[in-house]
Order: sequence, then C-alpha cells, then structure tokens
Amino acid sequence: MNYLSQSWLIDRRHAFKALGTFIALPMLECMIPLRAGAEETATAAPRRSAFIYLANGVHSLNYQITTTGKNYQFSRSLKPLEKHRSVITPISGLHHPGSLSHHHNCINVWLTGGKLGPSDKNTISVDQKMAEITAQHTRFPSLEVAITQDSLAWTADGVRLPAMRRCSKIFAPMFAGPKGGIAAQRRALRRKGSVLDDNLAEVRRLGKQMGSGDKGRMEQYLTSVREAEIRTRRADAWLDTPLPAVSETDRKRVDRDIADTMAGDYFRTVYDLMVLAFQTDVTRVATFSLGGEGQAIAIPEIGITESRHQLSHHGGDMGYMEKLTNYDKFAIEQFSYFLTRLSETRDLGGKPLLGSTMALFGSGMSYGHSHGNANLPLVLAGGSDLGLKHGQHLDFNRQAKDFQGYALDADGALTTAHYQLCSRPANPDAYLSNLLLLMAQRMGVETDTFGDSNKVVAL
Amino acid sequence: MPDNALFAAAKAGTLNGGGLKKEVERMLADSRINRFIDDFSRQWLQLHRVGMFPPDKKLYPGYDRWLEMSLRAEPVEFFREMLVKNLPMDGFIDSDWTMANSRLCDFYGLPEPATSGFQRVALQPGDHRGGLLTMGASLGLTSDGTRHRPVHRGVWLSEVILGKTPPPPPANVPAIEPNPPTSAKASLRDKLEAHRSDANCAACHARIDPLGLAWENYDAIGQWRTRENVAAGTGENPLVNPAGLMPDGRAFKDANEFKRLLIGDRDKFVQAFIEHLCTYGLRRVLTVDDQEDLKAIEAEAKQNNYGVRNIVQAVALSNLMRKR
Repeated sequence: MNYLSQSWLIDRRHAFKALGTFIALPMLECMIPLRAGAEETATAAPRRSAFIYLANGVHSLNYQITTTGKNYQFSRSLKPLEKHRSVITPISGLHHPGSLSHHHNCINVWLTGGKLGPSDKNTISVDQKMAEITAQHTRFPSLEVAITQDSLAWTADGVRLPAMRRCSKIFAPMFAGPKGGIAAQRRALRRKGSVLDDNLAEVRRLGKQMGSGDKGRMEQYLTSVREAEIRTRRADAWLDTPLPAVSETDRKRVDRDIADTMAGDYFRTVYDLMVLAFQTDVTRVATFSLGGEGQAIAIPEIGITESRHQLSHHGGDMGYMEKLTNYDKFAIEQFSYFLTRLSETRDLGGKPLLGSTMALFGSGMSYGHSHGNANLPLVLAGGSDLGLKHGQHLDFNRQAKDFQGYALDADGALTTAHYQLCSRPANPDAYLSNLLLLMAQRMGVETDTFGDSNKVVAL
Repeated sequence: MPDNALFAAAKAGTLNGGGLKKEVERMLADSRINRFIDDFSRQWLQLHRVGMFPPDKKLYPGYDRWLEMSLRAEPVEFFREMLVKNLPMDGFIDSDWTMANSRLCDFYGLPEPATSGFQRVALQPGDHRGGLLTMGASLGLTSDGTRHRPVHRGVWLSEVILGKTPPPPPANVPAIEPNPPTSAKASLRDKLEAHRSDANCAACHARIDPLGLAWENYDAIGQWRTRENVAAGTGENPLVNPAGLMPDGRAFKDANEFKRLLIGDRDKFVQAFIEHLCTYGLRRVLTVDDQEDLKAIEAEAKQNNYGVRNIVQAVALSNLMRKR
C-alpha cells in the first residue's frame, strides 16, 4: 500500500480506518482456484521438492570433491552419501551473483536468487514458486521448518514466511486436526472470510476515485487479498477431508519435542516429518534450515559445544577446522538418512518417494572464515522419475575457461589457495538460479527463467 | 488510529497553526508516546541486532539473557530521557549519565543503584561510558559471537550517526586466509591493516574503518579493555590502538577524542537524526525534493538549541509531514 503518492487524492483517513480490520497478507501462493485444472493433473503423479540449508558454509578443504565425471571420489565430508551415489549429484562451482560479498545475508537469497542492496526487496523463493502449482492438490501449500532463526521461504512480495521449530507443533496441523474441533476452525475461517469481503468492498469503492498510478499498487493489494480469500476457502474445504492416517509407530516417532541439545535426533525427526508429509501427500514442498547463520546449534553428542558460526571462523585453528569438518559430515549423514527414508517409503501411489522427490542440500556460503559466497557446496538428490540423471560430480569450476585445476599439494590434499575459489567464482556465468530453474521446471512450473537465471542446468 | 480528540479537532477544522501545535503537544505528553519511543529507537539504532550472534559462553561467561535484555533496553531508556527532558542532541554522542538497572551497573562497574529498574545514574570519566556510542548494545550488536568487528562498527556508526550507508564491498574481494597459529599474536586491527594493502579496498575502508577503530578499547560485548584477547599465536596479548584519522584528516587518539570531533560536527549528526525521524514518520526514503523541508527543520532545531523534544515537534509540524 502506498499512502504517499501525490495522485491519490482520497482522504488519508480512509487508510487509517482500514487499519482497524487490516489483513495481514502473508504468503503469496497459488492463484488457481480450488480444484480448477484438476482434470488434467489428477492423473499425473505427484512431484515433490525439499530444500535443506546448512549455515556458514563448510570446511571446504575437506568437503570439495576434486575429481570429476562418473568416477569421482567422495571427499571426507561427503563420504556418508557414497551409498546413494547413483541417485545424487554433488555440484561444484555455482554461486548467486547477488550474494557475493554479502556475508551471512546469503541465507536470504539462497532459494530466491534475489538482490541484497539497501533498496532491494527480496523475490519469490523457488519452493513457493513450486507451491503455486502444487498447492491445489494438498492440505498445505508448503512446509517451513527452521531449528533456529528464520525460514528459507519468501513470497512474491518479498515477505519471509514464518518457520516452525518444534516437532509436535509441525505434527499437529498436518495430522492431529485443528485445535477446538472442526466447527470452531470453520467459524474462524468464515469470520476471516467476511473481514476480507468487507475490505474488498471498501477497496473497490475507493478504486473508482483513483488515478492510474495508484491502480497498479491497488491491483497488487487486491491480488494479495484474493489469494488470502482463496487460501481461506481452500482451508475451509479441506476441513471436510479426513486427516491422513498415521501409524502409531510413526506418530510416536515424530509427535514429540526434542531438546536442541539432541541435534541428531532433532534433524532426523524433522526429516521423518517431511517424509511423512510427502508420503501422505499433505504437502509436496518443504524447506528445512538446520539453523540460521548466526545460531546454528552445537552438536554435543559428537563433542561440538561451539556454535557452527564460531567454528566457521576458525582462523586456521586445527581443532576448530577438525570440528567443523565433523559437523559437516554429521549434517551430511543426517541428510543421507533422509534419502534412505525417502527410498524406503512409498507414496499413496505405491512408488518410492525418492523417485518423485528432488532434495537439494547445501549452503549459501562455502568458506565461512572469510564469508566466501562462491563455489557453493550443493548436493542434488532424487527425482529420477522427474527425469534427473544422477551419478556424476557436476563441476562448473572445470567448465570455466581459465580454471587451472584445484589447488592440491604433493599428497593430493587441497591447500588454502582453494579458499580463493570459494570467494570469487571461477565461472562467472554459473548461477545457482540456473539449478533452481531446473528444479522448478521438473516440478512442472512453466517458466524459462527463475530469479537471475541465465540458462538452465542440464542434468 | 487517531483518537477521538484528534478526530474532533479535524472535524472542527482546528488542525492547523496553533491548533495543530497544541495537538502535537498533547500527543507528546500522552503515555502512548512510549510506543514511538520504543519503536523508533529500536529501528534507528538497529537494536534488533543485539544478540543476533550470541556471544561465546567460554569467552564471555558473564553474558546472560538478563544482561542482553538490559543492554537492549539501555539506549531505549536513554532516548526516552532525552526526549522527555528535551535534552540537547550532544547527549547522544557524550553524556555524564546513562540509564541503567542493577545488572548494567554491575556490568559497567558502576555503584549499585538504590532502587530496582532503569534509572538515571551518574558517570565518571573513569567509567569510559557516556552517550549512545559506548553503550554495550551499540558496541556489541555488530560483533559476531567471538570477536568485535571494527568495520561493522564503522558501518553502523556511519548509518546511524552520520546517516550514510557505505557502498557494499565489490563482488571480487579475495578470500582472507587464516593466520597460522604459530605466528605472533596480532590484533584484529593489525590483520585488517594488512588486508587493506589493496588500493581498491583502501579507498572505501579509509572512510569506514576509522569510525569503527575508535572503539578498540571495547571488546565484542562492550567491556572496557586495554589489551585484545587473541586466542591463536604466541607471545603476549597485543595492546589495543584506538587512534586514527577521520576521513577528512583530523586525528583522534581514542574514543573520547573521537566523540569530541563528532560533537564538533554537530550539524551532521543532527541532520542525520532528522532524516531518520522523517524516514520513520513518512515510511519512505528521502529524496532531493525533500531537502528544502529538511533544511527548515534543521534551522528550527538550531534555534531551539538542539533539544530532542523540540526536534521531534518540528518534524511533526513540518511541511514534509503535513503533505504526506
């Protein structure tokens, strides 16, 4: 809303009056009315995506895979993924040009490819772009989890979606039904609906008095209101659909609260919840931040009592670098657990989830000590049914014209010269948005661009 | 939402001239002004950043949640006092008092206050405090959990006190490789200066860094120190060096002299404060078209000896706000 433009010659007090019943306009999601277009998509198999964020980069000297192609050798940190070799693609050399030298703000554009200048507004994240087309099929458009700090998901208006943290709180809306029963929930939704109606009536009346300059903004506002309306109606309609059945074993495993001193249990339980949500088709899109850039949790069970951020600024300290490597490996082990669960679990159609689920694991930073935002650590997994061909190390560094090879010492270990590659992209055209575009397209989003993409990654 | 009295005044057509002034007076005296005080000071001073990178428990064992909440409240209470008492703007830069509770008095090494809650306490020169810039919140909100960050302090000061956002670093900055732990202990300042050898970097950093290096006597959570604790390396912890040159070449030897130079440039930070107030009130960035109106507010501020309350009043009554 813009109350400031000169051409808007209506009484300023209209705006104040509206504030009383002002609607918080959160996620921009699907514009497709409930069940419209269901005919052509009902028979299509569901497609799913998950995004997992590891803050502060990795200890790149122990993470980087230096061999290429099909016969690549797993690095020390990525070793836990070796058993999934045929269904994963480690990717090197991508970056977001908009986040270079923007330090920890990289988490804000990891899934958006947006810009971070003082006057820039963030853009829609790829998971929400996907939710635009999957939301019509599921009870929830998307799932946002962050163990600490904020979620990874952003609306088209550049507003960040709130994150859930506690496992029981994630479980409840998906599988336990509304608090206070369906009738109470419906009453609340209908009340919200009538607030929307009132606002719309008022706004339409104002629209007649408005100049063309304001109409654009008003359109944007109306779009948001209409989306809120659709969402409310959709939630109302879903109330009559029975909740998915969850076995007692599954419920016991995930419907509980875990202290963040139990990092492994916590990570795995969120993964279990994501698997359960995909399995029962409650949602098809999920983002999971293992912790924000400032407050990614310690892992006492493997002797790490420092925050991840602190470890990442290791200053060359051997002990810190070893701990950071162990942390990376630990987080990758839990991701490996997620992939195993996805491959073992079948969806409502009876097919293994992993084939229809693309999972992207990675960070917006590679070398934390100096905030290097290039050569991002990324692993794309799953989605073979959607046409992804895995099994190689996809290395955009090697595709760069001037790339001299990785900086190795006599024993074949990476030297600190490698850090330069993590700060300045070897391949200035290899954008992470190109990979996000590939994922969006495979999800069925009809688009040729995403964020600042300049082509699409071939895989 | 305007209250009934304000609606009534508007209906009666008295919301101009003396009538408008009276209403602004009334609103400044109303308890609801506290919403403005809490909200504006938080946004202006970027207090949401306090505790964003929680200080390491081993390095800062005294840091706890109560301290963090107290630290975050101090500048807000300070602003409240400045506004309510209509104190001159210089107080934001330096003062012989602050607003503290018992936790902060303990943290700053001040005598235990007689009553609980925030209250005005006197500061001596030896306390090394006074004004916004040497508060724990301002010094700590740019830190990263383990160490202070002079460059970030400089950027914060530039944005908050001088109203200027330095340009972001270029995208092609080479990575900083870690120092081998066997070398002699080096202060962060020494390391920074070593990395500033690149002329392209130095051009911008010469303008930013001094604004942050003046506070080298304060650690990552704002505690006074004369030596910097360096974890890696051999030898003694290095002495801190808070001296520097202002971008215009004037020298300062420590935080106190730096504050004095800032006060000498009063117009600059008063102007920045007015801009922050207007941006807050108008909810938009200011443009060149606003300059004339801003100048008028500045002139009035000067006439009123830079009283904070007078400035807020002048902004509320300004052309800018009335044609919003």
